[in-house]
Amino acid sequence: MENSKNKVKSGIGDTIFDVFNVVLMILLIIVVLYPILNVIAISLSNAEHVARADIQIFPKGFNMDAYQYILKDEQVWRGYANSILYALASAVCTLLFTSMTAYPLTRRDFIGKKFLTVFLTITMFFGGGMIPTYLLMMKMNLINNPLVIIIPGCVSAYNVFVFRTFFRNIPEELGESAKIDGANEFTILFRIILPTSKALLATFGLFAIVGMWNNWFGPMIYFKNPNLYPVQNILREYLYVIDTANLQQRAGSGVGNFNPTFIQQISPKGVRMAIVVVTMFPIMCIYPFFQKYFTKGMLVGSVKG
Amino acid sequence: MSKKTGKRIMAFALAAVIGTVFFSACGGGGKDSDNSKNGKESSASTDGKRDPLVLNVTMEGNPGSKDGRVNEEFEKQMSKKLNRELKIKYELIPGSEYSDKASILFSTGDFGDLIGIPFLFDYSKASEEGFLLDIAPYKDSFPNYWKYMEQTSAGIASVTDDEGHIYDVKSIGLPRFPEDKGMLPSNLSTYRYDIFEKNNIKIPETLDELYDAAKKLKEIYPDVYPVHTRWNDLRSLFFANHTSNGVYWNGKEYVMGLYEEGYKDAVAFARKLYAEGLLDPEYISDDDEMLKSKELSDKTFIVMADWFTTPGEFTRLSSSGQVFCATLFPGNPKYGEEAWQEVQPVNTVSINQFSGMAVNADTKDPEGVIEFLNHCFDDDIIRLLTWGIEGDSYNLDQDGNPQFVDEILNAPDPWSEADKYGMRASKNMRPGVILAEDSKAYVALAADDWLYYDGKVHQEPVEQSEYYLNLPYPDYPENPYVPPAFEEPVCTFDTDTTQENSQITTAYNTLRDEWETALVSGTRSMDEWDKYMKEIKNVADIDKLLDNYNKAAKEYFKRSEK
Repeated sequence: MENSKNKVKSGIGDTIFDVFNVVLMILLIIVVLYPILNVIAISLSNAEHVARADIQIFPKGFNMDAYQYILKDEQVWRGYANSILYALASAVCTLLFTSMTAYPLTRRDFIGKKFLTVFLTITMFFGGGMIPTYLLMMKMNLINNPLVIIIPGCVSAYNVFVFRTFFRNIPEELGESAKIDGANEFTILFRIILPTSKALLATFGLFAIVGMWNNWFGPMIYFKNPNLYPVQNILREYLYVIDTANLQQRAGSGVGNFNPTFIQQISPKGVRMAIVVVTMFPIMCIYPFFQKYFTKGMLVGSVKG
Repeated sequence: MSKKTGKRIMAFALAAVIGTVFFSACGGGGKDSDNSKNGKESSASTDGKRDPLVLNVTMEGNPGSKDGRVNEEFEKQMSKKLNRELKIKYELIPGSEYSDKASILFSTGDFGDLIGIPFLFDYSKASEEGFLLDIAPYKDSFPNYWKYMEQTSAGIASVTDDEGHIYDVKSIGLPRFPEDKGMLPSNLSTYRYDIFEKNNIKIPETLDELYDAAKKLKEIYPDVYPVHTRWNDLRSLFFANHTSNGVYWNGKEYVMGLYEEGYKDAVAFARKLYAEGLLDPEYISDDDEMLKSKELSDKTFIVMADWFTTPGEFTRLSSSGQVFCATLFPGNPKYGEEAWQEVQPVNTVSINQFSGMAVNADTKDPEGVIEFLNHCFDDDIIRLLTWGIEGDSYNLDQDGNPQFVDEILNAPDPWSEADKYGMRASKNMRPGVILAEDSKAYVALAADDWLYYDGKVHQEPVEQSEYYLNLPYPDYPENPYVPPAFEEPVCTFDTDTTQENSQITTAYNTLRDEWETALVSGTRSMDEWDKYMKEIKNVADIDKLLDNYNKAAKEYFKRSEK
């Protein structure tokens, strides 16, 4: 009885709004889902139908040739393993070192806080450029070392400031009471601050994973050993080979390292779509687990007090 | 767990992380310690046997492509020729990244003894920085390269800069066609032969016939734009009218095609096609995928300019009986008996513009490297790398010419079958350091094309076609199909002139494209032609551009005489 008394009555306006809302969301879902279904359909269709561009959301001439082309090579699987390793390592390093950089900046008694803040701010606007950076990595013997794509980029000034703002919102009393019990700054950071920052850590952990998963430029520049390549570089090479074969088959003049019958068996566009599916699949799998933190964490650092 | 133990574990973990970072940065896995600093101080040892030659080679490739018996045989034979053990360490960079990565390597000097030069790459900065070895002083040690370069139409002058330096070891293509006849155009016109045959329409040989054919097709298929072209330009029309829509070599000097009557007539013809709904309005924007889709969906039947093997590719792809045939560009009798064609230099030794090699200036054994490169041009090495091992992947016929074994030729997929043998003429294998290719090997594995000549379609690879093998030798001006640009000089410019040329060319290209599109589509009238010409002259210093090119041409001829 009490519940029905407190329940807000919905009028016609609310119903219209709900209907409009649902229709709008359904349209948005269609708009978002259609390209994904189209991509999957093209990746599962035969070359002729792909060439004719007459595929909508269902495959035509169903076959898995594009996936077989990509996945039969052990290099792809090695690339997958590398990508997972780099993504996880990047996430751990990013969260660890960023929090260790941001936390001291929240302490009032930290000497050099202003200088470090300005120092970090400058790095947000200026960079050395690609060649000087490469030379620096070369001098540090980091070329052809997986750490070259993990360590240099793991502490971003922007992330440090977001972490700092978030940490500032955690009551100081928590740290003070821990100090009374004999905790040092490391203990406070790892046992009080970070456990209360799950939304922050999940969000930036996801950013780091996605960023490293999509990263192909750093590996391209710094790796000489193809066994170190992440999956993005390997799949990019697959696409290049098929596009180049397509082009060179048309050029046909003295660069015949192509297989003319291969071209019509596998469609470059089909392979391109299969590559999209193969690379987005893992991220699509982990995203639902992070979603609750992600929604909350998007606003981290934006509200003070 | 006590607090103390927890602290210790935490401290240990942090120390482990920091230590890993520190020691991995100091340890190996960085720049190859012997990268470009290998080789040896002296090429002779006390017992008369030469010390091994270790080469680091940075080039485009797939790691798997170095496996195979041909690569092993290559190193064995080269060791014999060099009279010293040869060890090659390949740093193979995937093709998708090679251009970008090579730019960085050239900028930093971080590459092996030999590095592949990407297509159209400007290595002048790297040479100015002193990263590249000038091979001009090694002419006596490198006779094979000079021998082949002098056989090309461009000659050694094409790789020599104004100061006489040579940094580029160009790749060479051996002739595929006879040395006295035969002509291979890389661009042809495509026609839907099945549609033409069904409606009893003649395959065009002139622009007027093309127009008539398009009109008939429009009557039969009113919803279709019968005419299209690849690359969003009207090159076949310019070639029919013996001109160009930019700066080109006319046999004596560089001139501007935009000023010529042939260019105006070509634009007017395209305008006529457009106005009558014959030319697809999207010819200016469709990419290869769109054009392919239209061709396979019967939305176009004539592609005025196309790659010569694309019609064959589409015919094989189609499962509904579509036949795409290729034939020479139609001509315009007003300007000559035949249209110019995009002719390839396959009758003589030619430079493969797609690849070349440079030598690291810091290599410790430059003489050894040059000796190695010289042997890469030996006839037996060329044959080994391209055809494979005699008795294994090929045998010699009664004329002494190599022929692939039946296991390769008769395989359902000859290219993949050839992979098992490990030679260049295969799908994936790239053995050794290939500086010269016998491209007859690729012709042997070429797929069928559908070629129209002598009034009917012939199903045969274009490079094995009796018709194309018996066309006149591509000699300008004796052969009416050959444009004068076929024998144009190789112009080299310094950085400032290159930038100046680029600015002028970009300026007039942009305006030209706007006007051409407007004139063809009818947005502008042909009466505004004088205004078009005036604007071209105002927006770009064409005279300066021509002056730069003609000066460079004179320099080239001077170098050629030396």
